[in-house]
Amino acid sequence: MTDPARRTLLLGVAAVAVLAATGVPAGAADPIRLGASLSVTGRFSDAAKYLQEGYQLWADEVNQRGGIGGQPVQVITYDDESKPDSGRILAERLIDRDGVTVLLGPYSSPITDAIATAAERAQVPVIGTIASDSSIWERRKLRWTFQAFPTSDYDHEGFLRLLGEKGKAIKKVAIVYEEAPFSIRAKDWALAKAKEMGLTVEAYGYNPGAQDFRSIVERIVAFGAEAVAMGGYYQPSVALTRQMIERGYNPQAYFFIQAADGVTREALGQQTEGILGRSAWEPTLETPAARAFADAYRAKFGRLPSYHSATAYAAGQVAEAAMKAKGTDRAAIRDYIATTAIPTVMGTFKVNAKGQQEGYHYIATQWQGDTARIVGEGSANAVIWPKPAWK
Amino acid sequence: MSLTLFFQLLANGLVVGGLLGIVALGLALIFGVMRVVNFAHGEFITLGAYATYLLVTQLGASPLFGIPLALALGGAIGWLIQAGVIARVTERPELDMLMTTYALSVVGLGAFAAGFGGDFRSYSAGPSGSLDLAGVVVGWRSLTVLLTCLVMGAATLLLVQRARVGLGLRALAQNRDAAASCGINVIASERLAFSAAVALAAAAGALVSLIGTTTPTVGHGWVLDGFVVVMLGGLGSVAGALVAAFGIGFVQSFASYLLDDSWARIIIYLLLYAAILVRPHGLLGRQEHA
Repeated sequence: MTDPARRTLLLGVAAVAVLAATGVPAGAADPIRLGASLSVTGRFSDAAKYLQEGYQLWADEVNQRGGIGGQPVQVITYDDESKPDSGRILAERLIDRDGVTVLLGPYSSPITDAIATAAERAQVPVIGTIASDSSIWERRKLRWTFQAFPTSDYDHEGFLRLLGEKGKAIKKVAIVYEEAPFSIRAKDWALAKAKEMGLTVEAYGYNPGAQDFRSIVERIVAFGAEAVAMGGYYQPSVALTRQMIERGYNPQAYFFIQAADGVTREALGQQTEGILGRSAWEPTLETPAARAFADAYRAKFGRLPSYHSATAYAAGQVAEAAMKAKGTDRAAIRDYIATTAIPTVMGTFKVNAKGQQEGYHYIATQWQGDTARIVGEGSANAVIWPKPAWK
Repeated sequence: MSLTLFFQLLANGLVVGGLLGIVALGLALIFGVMRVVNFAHGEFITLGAYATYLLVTQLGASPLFGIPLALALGGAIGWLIQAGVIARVTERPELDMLMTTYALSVVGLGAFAAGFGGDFRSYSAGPSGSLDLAGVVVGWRSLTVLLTCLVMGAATLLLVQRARVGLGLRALAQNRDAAASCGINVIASERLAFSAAVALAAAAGALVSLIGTTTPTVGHGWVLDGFVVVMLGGLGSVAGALVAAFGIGFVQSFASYLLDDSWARIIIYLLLYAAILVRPHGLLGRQEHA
């Protein structure tokens, strides 16, 4: 037996333990199978659980409504151990052995990137649930893989919109970015947008893995920036914030990309007040679709959904719309997803010619007291402006 | 460039240089005494960082207590690893030793990743606020880092250059066999050197957690720079490592300001290359005679 074959077999055996097929009633018509490689173990394991719950809720609801064209749906999931390579092998298994009609996305851009390789070869549509890095679609010509997460290109959009609304007095903006494709693309978009808004803007790059931002802070101070947007990863963002605090540099508006609320709070304590962020989705969103989803999720799992579950549910909705219209013909499903605006809990799903998400963008958030709340467009929450000085 | 800005960049460089200094000091000590390139040094930094994180978040203690805790923990673990692992391969070919420390690094990385996950950990407790000296602003956290590094650096230098045990270490560094025949306890000296180096690394980790964030790979970046410092300062030269560390801290600070972060890295490695060409034995290192 060749090594890859043995590896596939081993993975398959291991995967049986976590094979989670959603409840299909006995005696029902053959189910339509969908598959997902999820990071049940490994570094992304926390997030993957929420993703799985989103898929499960969607499938259960579809089946309660009588399925699609009389056929129930079944979501088969395996554990990729948070590794892109395992994700690719599992995608092959889902396609070859389980015969899935559509692949629902894994957690993270790198694993989506890996799965796309298998899916493109086998010509199976992939709905990239949690893949924000739009450079994947820039770098590769992907015909069967679609981005269903807000693209990182628009990371700074909410921040700049708030600046336009509230920060009339602000003339100089500093953008800090990581020398990594997603961050550079977001910076390029923001530079053009800020110039269009009549702002003077300077951008400062740093090397991946950097922890020392003191010289960048000095450059920002020397430039006289009144607002700062940090478009790099979460960890360097915390380091930059701490060094701005130490330097006693107080911008009137400050934005950085945050993930889990608890971690930001743990790292920065009371200093979070007024810091802006962005989110793919929040359970407090005041749209009928979001409210209905949040209620159903809470009834099933006993807590509020995170954006992971919402994006997973939305990916299911996209697959559902395509299969309702086109049945189980993969090529027809692919064409439908590529060309149709589909309403979901995230907003309207719509991809551009490259497969990148254009329909929904990020929403702006701001730390107010103990939590990050939605602010700006469509939200009743008042923005704290300017950001209070560091304590 | 104004004088205030100049001193501000100088102060920033001192903080980074101080941390790099005690990381490199440990590497130089281990290399100098035992001729071992310790790939696992980064994991000992990570150990100190997580120990401090746990101390702060689980026991609610001040992160300042993390420094002595990391020193003690690092010293003890260093002693055990030297006795249990390193000492067993000392007489073996160099590649065996390299692979051993590399294996230690992989095991350590795996253990931290399994125990703490890949996400970063951080805490907000500890000194806050800044000191403003005529416009030059240094945070109390950074100042804590700098002062601790200076004290630990000075203590290590005194230990190596003035204390009786230091004499043994220096003798070993010059010639292992001759030192042994002069009655120097080679085993105890090597154990002391390794243990002290790991203690320094762990203390550096405690300080890194104070000003930065902690992940399973937090030590790697520091240890790479640490190797550059050791090469620049002279392989195994303890004083040279300190001088080179502050030098690199200043280059990083000024070049990042005047050019950018990428250029700072390029310049540092160009300096390393130039040093290898011009002074292959480093700034303060001695030329070895065959």
